[in-house]
Parts: sequence; structure tokens; C-alpha cells
Amino acid sequence: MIKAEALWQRVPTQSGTLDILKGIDLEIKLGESVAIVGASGSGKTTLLGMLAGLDTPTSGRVLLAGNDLTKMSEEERARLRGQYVGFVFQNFQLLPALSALENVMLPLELRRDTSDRETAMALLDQVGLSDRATHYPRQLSGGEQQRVAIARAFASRPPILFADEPTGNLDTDTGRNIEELLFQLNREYQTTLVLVTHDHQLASHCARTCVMEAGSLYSDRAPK
Amino acid sequence: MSLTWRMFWRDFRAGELTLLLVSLVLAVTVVTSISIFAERIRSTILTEAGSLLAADYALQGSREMNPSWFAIADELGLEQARVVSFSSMLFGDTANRLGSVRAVTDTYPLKGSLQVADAPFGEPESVQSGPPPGEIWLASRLFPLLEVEVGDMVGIGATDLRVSKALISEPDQTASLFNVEPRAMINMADLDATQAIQPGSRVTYRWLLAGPDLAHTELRNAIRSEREPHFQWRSARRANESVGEALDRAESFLLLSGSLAVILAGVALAMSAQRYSARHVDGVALMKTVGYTPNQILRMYGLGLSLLAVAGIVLGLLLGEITHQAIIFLLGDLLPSNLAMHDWRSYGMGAITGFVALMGFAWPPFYRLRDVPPVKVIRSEVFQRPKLLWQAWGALGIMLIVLLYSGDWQLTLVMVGGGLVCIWGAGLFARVLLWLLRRYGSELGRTWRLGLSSLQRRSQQNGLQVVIFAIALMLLFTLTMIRTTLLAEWQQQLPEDSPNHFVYNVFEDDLDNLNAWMDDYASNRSPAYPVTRGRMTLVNDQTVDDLSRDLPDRNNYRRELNMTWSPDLGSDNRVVAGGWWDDYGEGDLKVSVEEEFARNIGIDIGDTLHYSVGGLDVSAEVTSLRSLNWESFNPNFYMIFNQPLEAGAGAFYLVSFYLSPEDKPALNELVRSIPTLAVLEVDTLIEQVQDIIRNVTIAIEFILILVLASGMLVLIAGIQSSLDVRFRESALLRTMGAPAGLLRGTLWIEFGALGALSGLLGALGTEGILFYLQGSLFNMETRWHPMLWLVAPVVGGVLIGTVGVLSTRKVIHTPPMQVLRNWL
Repeated sequence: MIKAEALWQRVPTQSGTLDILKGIDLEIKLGESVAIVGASGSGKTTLLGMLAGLDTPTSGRVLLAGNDLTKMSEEERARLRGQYVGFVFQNFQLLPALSALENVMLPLELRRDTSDRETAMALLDQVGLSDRATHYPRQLSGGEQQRVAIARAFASRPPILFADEPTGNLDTDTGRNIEELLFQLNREYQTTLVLVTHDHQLASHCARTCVMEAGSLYSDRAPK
Repeated sequence: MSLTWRMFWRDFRAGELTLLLVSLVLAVTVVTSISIFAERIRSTILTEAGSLLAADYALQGSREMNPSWFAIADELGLEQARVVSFSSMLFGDTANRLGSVRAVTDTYPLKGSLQVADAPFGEPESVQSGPPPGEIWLASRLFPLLEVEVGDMVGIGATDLRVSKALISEPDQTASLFNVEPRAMINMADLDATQAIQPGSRVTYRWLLAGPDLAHTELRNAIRSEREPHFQWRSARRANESVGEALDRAESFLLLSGSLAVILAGVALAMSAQRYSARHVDGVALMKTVGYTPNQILRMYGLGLSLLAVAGIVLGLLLGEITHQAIIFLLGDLLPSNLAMHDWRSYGMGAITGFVALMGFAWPPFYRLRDVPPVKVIRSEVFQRPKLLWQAWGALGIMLIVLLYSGDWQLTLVMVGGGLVCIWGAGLFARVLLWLLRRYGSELGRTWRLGLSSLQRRSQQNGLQVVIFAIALMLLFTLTMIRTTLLAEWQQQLPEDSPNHFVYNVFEDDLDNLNAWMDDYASNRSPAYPVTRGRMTLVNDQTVDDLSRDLPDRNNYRRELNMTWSPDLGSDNRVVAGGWWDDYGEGDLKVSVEEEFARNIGIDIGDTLHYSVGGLDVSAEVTSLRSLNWESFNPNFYMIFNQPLEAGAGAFYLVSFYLSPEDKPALNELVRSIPTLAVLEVDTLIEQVQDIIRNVTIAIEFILILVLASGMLVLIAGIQSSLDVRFRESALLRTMGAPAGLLRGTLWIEFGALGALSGLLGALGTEGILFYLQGSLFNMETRWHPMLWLVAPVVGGVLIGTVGVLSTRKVIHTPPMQVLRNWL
């Protein structure tokens, strides 16, 4: 489903060039769930951005559902994302001007499907927020905001879900709830999941864990 | 309603788009109202100026015009009138007198009106046409001279006409300034009957025209080949130099300030668009992650902006009309009642400006949203560098607007070039100043330290703000200074007690009489200048005929000149070369020549000029050149000698003075006591000029206010753009226990310092711009303004300090929790 080949990311700094990714190879199969763990600054978020087509590498290539992301224009990548990819972010990333329901409807808008509202309402119901549909992000707690974000991520039924520290901004209890919700929906929708985290407990829910260290994918191993 | 529209609508309701919309509305309002107002004032002024010529255009010559020309003018739809002027003896029952007679057609005057009274020097009333056939109107002073009253018959040539009115003033009397004989007016239908015009008579034919410029140009072209060289065109604009110049300057000023207002509103627009798009970067990045393509983003924001454009332009046009109506209403009596109507172009101008301003200033930051990298959602530090191309785009937008507005390439280039130089230069200067502040400001108290370190933290953004504030202040200072100088100059040019009467043809024996009368009634009087008439024949050994062959104002050199002699230099004369004499009446004959007169024909210090005076040849050495103010309404002369011209025996005296309207009837007394005396009454002319200047002044004040409003908007937009960061910092400081007083003090210092810096920079730019504008656009003397350098930083500090603290007071009063929650 996703394949990275010899992925390098180099950025010029005042003290010479800095290699953020150093020739990473990675393959993720359909329906697989993979956790990428590592310390802050190890390059895991950068790798996630590359795999999801949010950014392009200095060299190497990324294949997403058979499409070479590095050869596509931003216009084409965006269309591909709309079709294949869902995201959950550490800082929720809800649009403040839209209500909870409208935030969930956002990816559906692109398909101009008339059943947008019902689909979105059903998802909000699934994450337990159907009674907060008209509330704006600022009226929701952090946990609630992340639930909305998860509902949005699944709204367009993407085959692949990328999650960047989805519990990083939440307290332990709320974090566990979100964790459960995420994996529950992931099973239900049979999504391929790529998760970036430094939380080993969260990573342990994934079928596979990779460790990033200083720009290299240090190991790629099956769970204990 | 799609999500996008909902988003825009909510942004709008949350006030996110308010500043953008207000800036746009202001840009359109300013341009529309200035455009309407300026257009109306301009045409009104032109109409008034037209009344000084009694027409828009006049063709004048010493021969009768070809009647086929009249037919052409008819076809072109031009209004026409004709005036024939000649000198003729007028016969009363018991006395007679040479008069200057004008025969006019029924359509005269085309512009302005005649003032007549039922008795000499009586209460004037306005009429729109000359005397009917069979009647004659006489200047007031002709009544005592001819010993007639209204109703009596007066003989003119071979016919008798009934005196029906006293002629008080004609709109175009400047056209015949220094016409010695008193005026009489008859109907053109009676002209033939007088048989006064015989071969060899000195007659002036004037053909007056009114109508659109285009039709007039066509007429000019149509008769060009037939028109003999001694026919001369005159236009209303040029009919009176002082009004013409005031008009030109006022128009330049209106155009200039209109352009400045647009630029200022544009800058406000750019800043608020910048802020809006900056606040949308994260949202756009997110939308891209869920699959919105760059082009979809572009379409979405493009549509939003278009909607805003429509709303802003419609609102702006409406407000522009209302503003201008309000101004007209408020000014009421001050404006002429027959204010010319404006046309639809003014609205078009407003709409185009709104559109161009939006595209030039607001579109670039909106367009950049298209290129927001989606990876920004996970890596917020990703920085999008503004492209130089966009600055060029903005500059192009400014140029287009200024060009549209002023229609003047040179002005446009100077404004844009000056602006760019200011941005680069000021950016550098601002950074150095900020560095100095930071370096040496740290030894001050706590509040100062915090305020200055806040400046230092945002040095990049502050540098930009200083530049923008400095430009705004610079434009405001420039405009204020130009306005002040212009108004002062005009007022000085025609003070309330400007001499409004000239008396001449007074001989030596009558001087005591005149002086006694002036002691009783006149004020602000000039010395009595002896005047003799003479022709200049040779400059060294070259004839004036030869020397003036290619000069456009050749007749000026070949005609008889009024010449005087005086020990003293006139109050508005200035010696620009050579020296004035201190041994009046001694030695050889010397002459002082007016500078421009001398320059055009090549007269220099040391040259010998030969004159023919009263049939005798006289020669004099040029010892000085003088500049003088023709607009002052003082008696002025091309030639002043250092001793009486013996050859000019029979010289008469010329005096100017101010006579108040109440004392006007006293002229009767004077005219009776000195029968030869001639009076030139320019009081109505001066009133006309003062009226025009008053109108222009109002227009300028009004526009200055609008530009000030734009300037304030820029300041507010600039401050708003840093509001987000300030909220966060102030909240942080307050959670750490900073009291509100300290924060307020910090803000005062930060904005005050920013303002003072901007003021200083603004003063620098103002000097530069004034140097150009005064020199080339307004034809004024260039000079430095040391006071500006002192006042500018203070004004800048207080103004920006106040606006800054007022518009950020929310920062101090919003609970810190509320602020920080939104950020964490």
C-alpha cells in the first residue's frame, strides 16, 4: 500500500547540511498497522509527512497505492490524499470557524455527496458527540476536539490513516479513551494505519513497530 | 450554503474581515468622493473662471471674423456671442466725453453676469444680457462727466440712444485692463446706425464661445487655415493668470492627495489581507491534508475575495456619494449655488480603484495561500518566504492606481520610485535605530526595559511597521505642509485689503486733490507713480523688431509701454541682478527692467536701451533686473527709470488703493473733482478670485481629512497585524504577575518609540518629496523645514502611541486564561 525507497531529506543550515532522513526504506501492506516510535527530533514526523505526501523528499521515492508521490504535482497529490488518506494530529487541527459537524463534513464536501450530513452525523454519533454537533471547537475540551478530528479522519472512508501523536496533547485517561476509539474505528473500517508516537503503550496496539533514531529507521520488527 | 461560504460568513461576523472590508470601502469612498467633489469643484471653478472671460474661449482680433466660422460653431453646437469694442465720443446735452464703447449681441455674456444699477454707483443687480436695441448703458463715472441721468438721451456717432442703466461691472473687464476711457455698452443691432466704425478706426472684435472642449478643438482645427495671425485664442483658464495658477496648483493638489489616499488605503488593505491570510495558513494546510487541491483553495479564496470586492465597492460608492452630499450640505453657503453636476465617471473611478487596490494589495497574500505547504500541519515551523514578485505586483498596482488617478506619468513614477526608495532606505534606517535603542535603552527602568525589549523581540516585524508608519506619516506630513504653504501663499497673495481700485490719468495739478480724497476714504494705497508711455526701439544696436521676431508675445515688446521713475523699489519688487540706485535723479539715465521681460528678448545688465518717448529718442543703461509679483494687484512696471523722463512731459499719475464697499459712492465725488481721472475697479474681480480660492481651500481641507482617515486606518491595520502575538505575550506576562499598569506602560513605550522613529523617518521622506513637489509640481520656492524635524517625532509618538494603546487595550483586559487556552 505504501512503499518508501531510499528516502533522503537534507536541509541546509548555518553549520552545513543536516540530514533529517538518511536513506529510509519501508513497506507497509494493505490493512497493516505500523507504529513509528522515536525521540523528539529523530525525524519520525518528517517521515510521516513524506509517506502521506504532505512533503517531498530530497531524493528517493514514495509509492502510495501504486502512485509515485515524488513525480506528482501538488495538485495531483492533494487529489490522491482526498481519495486515500485520513489524518489525526497531535493538536487536533479543527477549523475554528466551523462547528463540530461541519469539521467532520469538510473532507466529504470535496465529493459533493448529498448524504454528507447524515454520514457526518453518524460518525459523530460513533465518537459519542452527536449532542455537540453544533458546538464550535473552542467550546469543546481537548478530548472532545480529538474525537471530532477522528470522526473527520474516517469520514471519507480513507484506505490509509496517518496519526501524529494523537494522544500527545491529552491527559492519560482521555488519551486511553482516544486510543481505544482510534483502534476500534480502525478495525471497523479496516484501515491501514501509520502511527507516529513516543508512547510505547500506544505503539504496542500496532501490529508492527519501527524505531527512528537520528534519521535512520533503526529497526523494523514485529511486536513483542 | 457550502462550507466555504459559511467559513467566510463566520469570519466576517467574527470581525476577521472587518478591517479588510473597511479598508476597501475607505479606498473606494475616498476616491469616489474626492473624484466627485474635485470634478464638481473643478468645473465650478472653471465656470467661474469662464465668467472672467464671459465665455470658455474667445477669439480676438482687429478684423471682423468670417461669418462662415459662426456657421461652423453653430453646427458644432457651441454657444456664441460677439463683442465689438471701439472708442467713440459720447454726447450729452451739455457735455461730451470720449468713451470706450462695446457693442454686444443678445447672447452676451455666455458665462458670468453683468452688474447694473438704476443710478450711478447704485445698488448693483445681476443681469444676463446687455442693453436692448435703442438703449445705452454708461459706466457710473460717465454720468457726471456727460451731465446726464438715467432716461436722458446720449449721442453716439450718427445716432441717439436712451440711457437706461448704470453699468457697474462686466464679467470680462480684465480683458480691457488699463483702458483709459470709461465704458459704455450698446446693443449690436445699433452698431451700424452709429457709423462709428470707419476704415482706419481702432476696433477690437471678440468672438465668445462656450461649450465642450472637444467641439471647441474641432472648431479651432476647422478654421486654422483661415485664421490670420492677428486673431488670438484665449481660454477661460488662461484669462486670469492668478486664478489659472491657483487652479493648476489646486488640481495638482487634489490629484496628489487622491493618489496618496488610495495608496494609504491600499497599504491598510495589504496589511489586513496579510493578517487575514496569515491567520488562515493553518486552516488551509489542514484542508490540503484532507484533499483540497491548490486550485480549489485558490478558487475558494478568490470567490470569497470577489464577494468582498462587490460588497466593498458597492458600499464604498454609496458612502462616497453620501460623503460628498454631506460635504455639500455642510458647506452650504460657502459653495456656489450653481455647483456643476458630476458625471458617472467619478463612480467608475471609485469602482476601478477598489478593484485594482484589491487585486494589487489584497490578492497577493490571498494567492499565497495556494502555496501553503500541507506539511505545515505537522511541522508548524515550516516557513513560507514571501516572493519578491509579489512586491513587484503590489508596486504595479500602486502605479496603475496613481496613473489612473492623476493621468500623469511623471507624478506616478516619482511617487512609486520615492515609495520604493523609502521602503529600502527606511528599512535600513529603522534597523539601525532599533539597534541603537536596544543597545542604550537597557539602562532605563523596568517598564522601559520591557517596552524596548518587546520592540527588539519583534525587530523584523517592527522594522516593517516602522517603514509603513513612516510612509503613512510622510504622506500626511507632506500633504499638510503643502496645504499650509499653498493656503498661506494664496492668502498672502490676495489679503482682504488688497488694492481694489486703480486711479490714473491724474495730472500733477490734481495730485493734492486726490491725496486729500484718499486720506478720507482709501487705505493700503500705493505711492503715486508718474507714468509716461513710450516704445522700446533698440537693444544696444539691434532693433526690437528683429529681436522679438520669434517670440510668442512679440506684441508685448512692440507696443507702447507704461514707464515710470522712482527713487524706491516697490514693495513686491525684488532686485535679482545688478543694483538699485541710491542716487536718484543724478547722473546718466538708468533703467531697471522686469526680469522675465528682459530674459525673453535677451536684455542684460550693462545693455543700452533706446526708447521713443513722445516722439523723442531716449537711451538708458540697464543697471538692474527686478522680479515682481503680477498677482499682487499693485501697480507694476516693466521699466523704471532713475530720473523723470523729460521727453515724457505730460506724464500722468497712477495710484492703487483699497476702497471698502461702503465707501464706493465716494468715487462719484472724486470723479467730479478731477475730470480727467480714470478709475479701474477691480473689486469684483478680486472678489471672484477670492471666491475661487475659498472654494479650492474648502476642497483641500476636505480631502486632507479623508487622507488623514486613510492614514489612521493604516496605523490601525498595522497595529492589528501584531495583535495576536501581543495577546499571547501580555497574557504570559500577566500570569507571571505583571500588573496592568506595567503592561500599559510597556505598550505606551513600545508604540511611542515606534511612532517617534516613524515620525523621524517620515520627516526625512517629507523633505525629499517636498523638495520635488515644491520645485516642479507647484512651482513654489524650495526650502528646508527645521521645525518639521522637531515636531514629526513628537506627533508620530503621540499619534501612534495613542492609536496603539487604544486599539490594544483588549490585550490588557482579556483574562489571560482565555488567551492562553487558544494557544496551547
